[in-house]
Amino acid sequence: MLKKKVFILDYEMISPIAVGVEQLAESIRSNYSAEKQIERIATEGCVFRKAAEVTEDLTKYYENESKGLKKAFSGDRKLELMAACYGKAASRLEKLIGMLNPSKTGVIVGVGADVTPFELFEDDLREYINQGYNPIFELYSEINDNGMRVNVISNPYDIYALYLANKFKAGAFQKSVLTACVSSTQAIALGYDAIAKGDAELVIVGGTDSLINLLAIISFGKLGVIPESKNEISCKPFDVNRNGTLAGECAGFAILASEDFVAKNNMSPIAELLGYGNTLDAYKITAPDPNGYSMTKAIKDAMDNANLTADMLDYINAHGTGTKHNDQLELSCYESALGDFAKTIPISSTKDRHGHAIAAAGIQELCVVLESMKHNLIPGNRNLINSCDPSFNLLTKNTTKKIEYALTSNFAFGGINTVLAVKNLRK
Amino acid sequence: MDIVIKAFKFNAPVIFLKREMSQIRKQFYTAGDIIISPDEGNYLNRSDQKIMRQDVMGSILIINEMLRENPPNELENIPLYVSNGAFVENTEKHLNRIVNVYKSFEEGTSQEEKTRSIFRASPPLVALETLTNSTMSFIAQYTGIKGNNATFGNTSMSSIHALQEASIALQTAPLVIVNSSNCGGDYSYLTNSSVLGYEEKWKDSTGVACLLLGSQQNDNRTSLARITLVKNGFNVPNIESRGIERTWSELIPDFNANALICSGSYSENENQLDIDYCKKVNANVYSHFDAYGNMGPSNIFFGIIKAIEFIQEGSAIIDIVDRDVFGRESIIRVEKC
Repeated sequence: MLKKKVFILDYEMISPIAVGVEQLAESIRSNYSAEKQIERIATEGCVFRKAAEVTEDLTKYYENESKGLKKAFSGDRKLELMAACYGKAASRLEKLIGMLNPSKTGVIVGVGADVTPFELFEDDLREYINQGYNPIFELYSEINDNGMRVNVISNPYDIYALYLANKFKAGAFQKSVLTACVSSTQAIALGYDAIAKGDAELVIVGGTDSLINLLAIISFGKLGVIPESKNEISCKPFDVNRNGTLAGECAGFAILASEDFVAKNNMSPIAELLGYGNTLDAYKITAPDPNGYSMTKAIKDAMDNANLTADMLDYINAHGTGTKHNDQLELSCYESALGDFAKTIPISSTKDRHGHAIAAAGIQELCVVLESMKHNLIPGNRNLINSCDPSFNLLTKNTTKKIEYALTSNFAFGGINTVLAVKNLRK
Repeated sequence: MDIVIKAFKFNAPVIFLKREMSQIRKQFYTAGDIIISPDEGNYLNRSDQKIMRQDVMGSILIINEMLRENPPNELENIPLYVSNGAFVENTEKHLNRIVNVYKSFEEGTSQEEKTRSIFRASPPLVALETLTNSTMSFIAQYTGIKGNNATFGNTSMSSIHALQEASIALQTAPLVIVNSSNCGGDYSYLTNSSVLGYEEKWKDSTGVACLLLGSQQNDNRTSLARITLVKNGFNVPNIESRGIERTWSELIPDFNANALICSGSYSENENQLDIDYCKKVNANVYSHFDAYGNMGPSNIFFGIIKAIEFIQEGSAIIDIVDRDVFGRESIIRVEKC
C-alpha cells in the first residue's frame, strides 16, 4: 500500500436505522433495531420474512429528478437509495462541488448483485407466458427500450458510480467494485490508493445494496445465511446462540481528500483514513479459512499500514454477521493479529441494528464509526446475551468513550478480507 | 506509468450461435462462447464446477497455465485484480424457471401460494452461481494467491480500472496478475442492449484473458512488451440519454503508433464506424469484432495481447482504444521493451 495522508471530509447514508447520518447517534443511543417483518414486498408463505429495511418514503429526497430517472428508481432500489443519499446531502455539498476539478475528482462505488424485482412485473410476465413468449426476453426488451442509458431493471453496475459522478462532475474515474460484503470497504481502500498515487485529489467512495427483494431473500435464505423468521430475534452477533444474519439495505458515501486539497481549500477534515489491509483466503468459496490466516493478515496489514499498535485502538467495529461461520473466527483473528491486547479493546457489531447491507456494509459501518467518534459513543452488541468468547471485551451496552483510533472490518463470501484504520480528527 | 508484460494467456470465443431475443420485436443477436475441454479442468472440484460459469472456469485454467509456465517467487502475496462482465450465464435456469411459475397464478391465487411457488422454483445455489466475485475467489482458491485484490465491473472500462490498480500495486509488489472475465450471452445482451438500444448484427461473447505484469526494476525475467499509458477520458456520460460519440483522437498522445486497435461496438455497423473513425487517425487499424464480437472487459486485454503480437512482428508502438457501453473512452499504449 502506498502511504500518503488521506482525509475524510464528509459522509452520508440512508440506512434502516437512520435516514441521514444526523439521525444515527440517537438511533444508537436509543438501541433502535430495524429488524422487523418486511413491509415493502409480500412475504406471506416465505420462511424468511424479517429484515432491516428503510421504510421511510424516499421520494422527497429526489423530487427534482427527471421522470425517467424516477421511473428507473422504481425498479432499481439500489439506485433509489443512492439518489436519496445524494439528495439528503445535496445542499450542504453545493459549496464543495463548486471547488472541484472534474479531472481530479473520482467516484468508487461498491455494488451488490443484480436481482430483478420480478414481483413488480408479475402481470406483464404472466401475459408474455400466456402468449407463448419467453417472458424474460420480452420484458427486458420492452421496458428497457426507453431511450436512456439508465433502465428500470438490469442496469450495468457502473450506473451507480455514474449517477454520483454526474452530481459531483467527477470525471477522473467512475469505478464499481463487485466483491460482495467487502465491496464498499474495498471502494474506500481503493479511494485511498487513488489519492495516494495522485490519480485524484478528491474521491467519493461508498456503496449501495438492498436484499429487500423476494429473490435475494430466498437465495440468501436457501444458502443458510438468513435464519427462518420465528418470533425470536434473528441476528445475534457473537452470541453462542447466533444462527444467521439480518438482511438489510443501505446506500452511503464518504468524501476522501488529499492533504493538498485540504490545505489548498483551508478545510478541517473530520477524520483521517490511515490505511487498510486487503487479502484473499484462497480457501473455499463457501466458507472462510478456519485458520484465519488471511483474515489475520488483513487486520495486521491495516495496523501496520496505519502505523498503529494494538494499545492505541479505542474501538473495533467488527463484521460480526451473526452467522456460525464468521463471528468466532473473527474474534480469534483479532487475537492473532493484535495479541492479548485484542481482548481489552471494545468490540461490537452493529448488524443486529441495521442488518447486513452486503455491498454497502463497509460504508454503513464506516459511517457508524465516524458518528461514534463524533459523539464519543461506542455502540454495544445490542442482542448479545451469552458471549461466544467472554474473554473478549464484547460490549453489551452502549458506552461513552472518546475514540481516537478505530478499525472497521468486513469479510466477504468467497474469502475476501478488508479492514480499514481510521483516526478521529475532531477536536 | 511503465508496466512490463511478462506473460499472458487467453481463451477466445469459437462457437457462435444466433439467438432470438424478442419474438415480438424481432430482435436477434449472435452469442459467442469459449470451449473448455473436459480434461483441462480435471483438477477442479466437482462441487465447485457446479457453481462456476464458463468464464470463471476459463479464467482459473488460463491463470494456472500461465503460472505453471512462469512460476513467481512469492505467489501468495501477488496482488490480483479482476475485471468482470455479466454474472448470469443461464437465463433459463436463473430467470425463466422462476418467472414461469407465474403461469400457474390465477386471480384467486393467494400471495402465500405465489411465494411458495417462487421459493420452490428458485435454484438453491443461485447466489453462488451469480456471485460477482466468484472469478476472483475461485482463482485465489485454485492458485493460492492471497494478496491485495479487487473485482471491478462490469463494463469494459473495468479493465482500465484493474490496470490502474495494478500500476499502483507495482510500486510495492514485484508482480501483479490482472484477469478479465466476460460472461457473454443472453443476460449480457439484455443488459448491454438496455443501455445502447437494440442494433442489428449484435455480437456478444464470452472471453477470458490474463496478464502477468511486473516492473522493470523488480523482476528480471524476460518481458514481452511494456504498457506506457493507461488513460480514460474525463467526460462523464449523461445517463439519461443515449448515443455514441467518437473522440478517441483527444486521448491519443501523438501519431507515433504503428497500429491502432479499436473495440467497444456491439454491432457490425457501429464497429465499421469505429474503424472508419480510427483510419483517420492511423492507417493501420485492427478490430477483433469480426472474429470475436464484443467481449466486454476482455476487449481491452485481447487488444493488449494483439498488440504484443504486432510488436513481436516488428512494430514498436501500438495504441488500443476502447469505448464502454456507457460511451466512456480509454486508451492503452503498448511499446516494445
